Amino acid sequence: MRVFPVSRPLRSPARTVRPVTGVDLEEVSIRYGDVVAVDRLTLHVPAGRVLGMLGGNGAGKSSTLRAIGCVNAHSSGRLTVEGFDLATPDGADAARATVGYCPDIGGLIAQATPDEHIDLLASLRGTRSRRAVADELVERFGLSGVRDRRAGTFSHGMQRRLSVLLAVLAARGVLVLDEPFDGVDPSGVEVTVSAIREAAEAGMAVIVSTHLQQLLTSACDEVAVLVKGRLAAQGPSQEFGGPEGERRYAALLRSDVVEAVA
Amino acid sequence: MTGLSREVTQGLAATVRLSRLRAQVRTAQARLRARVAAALAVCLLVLAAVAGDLVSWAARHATAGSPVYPYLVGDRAISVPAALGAVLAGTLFAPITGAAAQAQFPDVDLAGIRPSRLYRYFDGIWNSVLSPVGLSPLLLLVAAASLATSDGRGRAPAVIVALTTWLCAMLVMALFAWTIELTRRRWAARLRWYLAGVAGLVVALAVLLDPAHGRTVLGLAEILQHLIRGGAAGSVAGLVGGLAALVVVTAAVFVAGLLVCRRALVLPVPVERVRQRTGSVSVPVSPSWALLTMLVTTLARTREVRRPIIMMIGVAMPMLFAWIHYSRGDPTSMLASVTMVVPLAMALGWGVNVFGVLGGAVTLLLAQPRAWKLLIRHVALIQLAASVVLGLVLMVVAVATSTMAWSVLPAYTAGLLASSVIATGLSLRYAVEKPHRTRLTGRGDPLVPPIVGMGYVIRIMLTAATTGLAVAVVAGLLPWLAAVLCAVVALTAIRSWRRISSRWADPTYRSGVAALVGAV
Repeated sequence: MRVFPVSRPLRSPARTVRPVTGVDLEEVSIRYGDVVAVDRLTLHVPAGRVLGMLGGNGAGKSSTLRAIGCVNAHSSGRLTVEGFDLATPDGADAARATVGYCPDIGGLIAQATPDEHIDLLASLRGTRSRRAVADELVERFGLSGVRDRRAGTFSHGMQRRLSVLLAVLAARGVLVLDEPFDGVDPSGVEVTVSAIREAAEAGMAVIVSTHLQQLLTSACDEVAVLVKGRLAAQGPSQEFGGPEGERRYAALLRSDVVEAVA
Repeated sequence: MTGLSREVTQGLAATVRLSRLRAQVRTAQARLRARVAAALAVCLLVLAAVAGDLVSWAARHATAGSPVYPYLVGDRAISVPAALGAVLAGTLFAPITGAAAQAQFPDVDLAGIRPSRLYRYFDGIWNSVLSPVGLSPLLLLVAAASLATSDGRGRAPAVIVALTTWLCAMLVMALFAWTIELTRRRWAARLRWYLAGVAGLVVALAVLLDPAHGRTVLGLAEILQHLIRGGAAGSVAGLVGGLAALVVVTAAVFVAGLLVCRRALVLPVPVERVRQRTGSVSVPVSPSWALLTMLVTTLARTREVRRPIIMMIGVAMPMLFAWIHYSRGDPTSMLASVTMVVPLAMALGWGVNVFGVLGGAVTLLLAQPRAWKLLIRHVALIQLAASVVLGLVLMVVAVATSTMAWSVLPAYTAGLLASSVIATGLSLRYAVEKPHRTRLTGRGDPLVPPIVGMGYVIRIMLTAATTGLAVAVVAGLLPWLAAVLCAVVALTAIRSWRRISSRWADPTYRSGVAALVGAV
């Protein structure tokens, strides 16, 4: 059974850009009062590709992913998801229908069971007919034994699995996973990595953030490193693998002045 | 004993230090709000202390036929027995809901500091005093003492008696709360419900057997009235003796509470039997109904939301009805209390920090198409519908079990609608503009910090409850004026809704709310 539908551009009057799939950030900044979390970030994640995001704490990864997940608003610049401009309310709403987003923290209804989460999201997105796919995902993510348990009683790892499952189920063109491996056991990591690869093969743009560098390099096609809200480096994932890649990443994290990648 | 006194000193010092810490971590705006709330509370206290003079002045200008006359000096005026009865009911009722033993900080946050164990006792009392649980009985007792000395003679001693009674009531509440905690830790959590049931039956039996049917609060109100009258008559010896006895009782209750608290805190916290498995509800296909269903399910499954609402509406209100009925009080005061209490209970138990209750779910919902619009509408709808439906049910019960004519119901229903609309609008404004991160552990944690809750109660009572009561009273006397009042309420509600929805429509603002409440 196909977990991900083949990604096709949606027809919508809210689309302001010619059918361009994937995620585009042009000079995007995100500010919280006086604090600049993301500073003129430019990135492009085309359909069918997986971008891994690396960076220290407070580098702006989660802020960027929250904006792409249509939860946060960006302060300036142009951010489009599947061609929908997130600066307009209609564009943001249309984009939400295409993005499956797993936040780094929370993202679950503590009092609801996995089944209730799945049904609620399916109702809100008009995808109730995909129940069989949901059942298969529940099985794969090892949640079939806890379908009638409240999410608030889950361990941290189980909550992450459910959160990733919901994002995978919701994704129609873009999959955004923020710290999906945090607290997850090896079998959960394996399922998550395979879900990421399947999403890319189905033509989705996938963005994953984590601190587990080696895992990221094996799961992603490309890696972007953020330092102090700016893009410090970007390149094929192989460049960030192995001891040499680790040294390069460590040097980037230590750097005070970042030369933005053109 | 030396060990106990050392523990007491350390506990008291820890409470002072933690209070200072809490004050330091507040923003300048929050500090200002706390100061405004404190000033407002002092003003209300002064107003309560001079209530006797105000009523005397109003009564001189009111004729016996005037509709306000019974509320000033007649059978509907506030009295010492009524005030004492209400205070005692609250004193015994509040600890069952989980109030009265709450700490300023969750235990887990203090794991690295490990303050002296008894700080929890002083923390609980301090939190109660700063919350509506402590402020409302203080105002009620001082107002009753002032009204009992409306000619001005013996006012100061009467207020001193009221203050001492209030202090005693606060300590009785702490003792009761820690006794419940001790039974929970020593035996079983369920035992407190059996104890509460037995205590309720004993009180009900005592009221039935009492020749005065509880009108004198089983003789306690007579003692208090005797003290106040003694002060007014200039009997210094009687007043001092009575006050000394009251102080001794207060001190004994304080020590008893301290010992029970110490005994309880020595025991480990029992593992909560959280109901992990639950039947999944059937989520409708329609997006709007699906979200509504899940919000109602969350309300019903969150103990901190569910319990105070049930206790207030399902237990306290029927008990109040029974007391009014058996003490042969004014039956319409049942309806008046419904217009005030039910919208307030729904606002405090759900509306004022609904996004804090939902926590991380807000992020999930904001990432779904159209859900942010539905979310705010449904939250308002649930609060309004629950306030009106539960209030109407209680009103029908009140009329059916009393001598009231059914014709009084429409006026009070209008009042209930008005107070529900205003309480919903106000609490939604608080939820959107002042969200609070809250960690609900299933052990009666508050939805908002106590001092914030106190401010909310005062503001909701002053606006929603008084407007609802005004509409209900006016509707029975001058229907055209009630219609004008209702129109004003409707216009205010529309304006308030526009303000809230325009703020919520701002994605930057929304994301700020989600980030704040979701970080638990």
